[in-house]
Amino acid sequence: MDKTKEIATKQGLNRLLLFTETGEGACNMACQYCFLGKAGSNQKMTVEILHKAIDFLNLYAVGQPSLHFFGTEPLKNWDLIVAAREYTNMMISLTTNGVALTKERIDWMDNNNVKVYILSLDGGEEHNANRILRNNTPSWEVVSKNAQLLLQSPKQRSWVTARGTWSGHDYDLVGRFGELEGLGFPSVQVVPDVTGSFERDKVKDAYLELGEYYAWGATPSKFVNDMVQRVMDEENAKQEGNKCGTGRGIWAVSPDGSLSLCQLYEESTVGKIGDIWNGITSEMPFAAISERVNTYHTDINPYPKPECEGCTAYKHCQGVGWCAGINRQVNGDELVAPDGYCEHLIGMVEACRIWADKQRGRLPKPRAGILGHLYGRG
Amino acid sequence: MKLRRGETKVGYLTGDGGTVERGVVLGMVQGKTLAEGKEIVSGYEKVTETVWIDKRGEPQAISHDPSVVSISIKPGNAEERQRELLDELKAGLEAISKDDASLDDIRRALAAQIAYSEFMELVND
Ligand code: SF4
Repeated sequence: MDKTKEIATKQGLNRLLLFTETGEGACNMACQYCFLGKAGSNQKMTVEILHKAIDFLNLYAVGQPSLHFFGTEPLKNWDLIVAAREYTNMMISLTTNGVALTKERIDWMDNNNVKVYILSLDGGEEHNANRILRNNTPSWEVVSKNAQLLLQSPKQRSWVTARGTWSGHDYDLVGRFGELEGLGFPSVQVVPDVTGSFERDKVKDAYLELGEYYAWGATPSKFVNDMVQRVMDEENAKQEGNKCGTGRGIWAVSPDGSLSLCQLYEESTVGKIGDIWNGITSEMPFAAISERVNTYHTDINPYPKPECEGCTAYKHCQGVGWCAGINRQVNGDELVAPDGYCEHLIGMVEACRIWADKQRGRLPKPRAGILGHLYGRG
Repeated sequence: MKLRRGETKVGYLTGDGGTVERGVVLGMVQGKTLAEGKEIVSGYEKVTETVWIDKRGEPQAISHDPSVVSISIKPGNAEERQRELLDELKAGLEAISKDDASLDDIRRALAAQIAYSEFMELVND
């Protein structure tokens, strides 16, 4: 078997994450916390390279192949999304900042089975503080209007998630959920930017306020609901571990056709694994990064940080689960989570324990997995 | 690492756990009366000794019971060793990814890669 096939099978490759434009000016926004440097010369993917990437995926995918347009802002290169659909009928999805969404584009996506999976927006004033357009103007007005346009499509509404980024200078989680839910998003994730600092007590208070807001029931966030469920039966909850999966299932493609372990390694040579013409030419990242992060919180690497020993959130800690690449960007090591991550997780777990107690007292014992359907907002 | 079945021979176990080859015991009973022979042999337990070898053919274990159908062994300090090898591999990858990587960096990274795959082969064998 050829080497690339062997590795793709072992890693369960089924999706390519496309960067259709990188470098200076690749995005129409300039968010404060973006993990991409977007420096250096601007590169755009050509239609030929896009086609070759699709051929590569068809050749090596395990199971149903799919394409996800990810970076740097996919709608900026709308012609490539159209070209992809003309070339293949595989599943196509995208992550977008929503600036370039239009009614025509949404209709076209509806008719051509292209799914907006993630719309990144923070909500209200926080949004305007962090998510600014390249010309330095706030983007909430345009993005919130476009988000509402998207939500008018029953199809898109059924799978889209509003992804907000939460940084530690603002602890108004309720406000953030309110803004995003207020737009009509049925699914909301407010993800902490752990590269910055958080204070566990303030995080705890923020989640407790959120619990109160949702009457200690389910929220539109799977991330929060899952944690409350875990701590409902903490003793029997399985030890979390690496959930990051860099290198597994999904590889990133750059505009020049090079392949990386995942989006976080697109801008660095460390995670480059080959290209769409020659397949996998460097196997080393699969062991040195992917296999290594799999040892997180196992007998091989039980305490990647000294603080892990005795940490109250240990059982629920995914450490590299959020992002091995972020860990590396902050601490130079995929296994060492930033302090902001730990502060946030510990505060969240402590709040969720109280949340779970309140829920236990309020409701009959929930059946696993259907909490969200059983208990709506009170 | 799963061991393979090597040579099998009949031997005699002594009281202190050692084995005496069949030929030696035969020599001891030859020329003796039946009663003397029985007396000598009663001090030993007749066993079928199987040598278990690794993939290089090196003996790694011995069994004396025919009901042993397979033996797997784990290298000592396997977890610690794997962690060290992965750390070396990671350091090697970081070094060769730099613009000013030297030939020595490349050599070291390749050595780390080989050491890790050999170790994992041993563990997963
Ligand atoms: S939250 Fe931080 S200190 Fe606690 S187990 Fe996770 S990585 Fe270790």
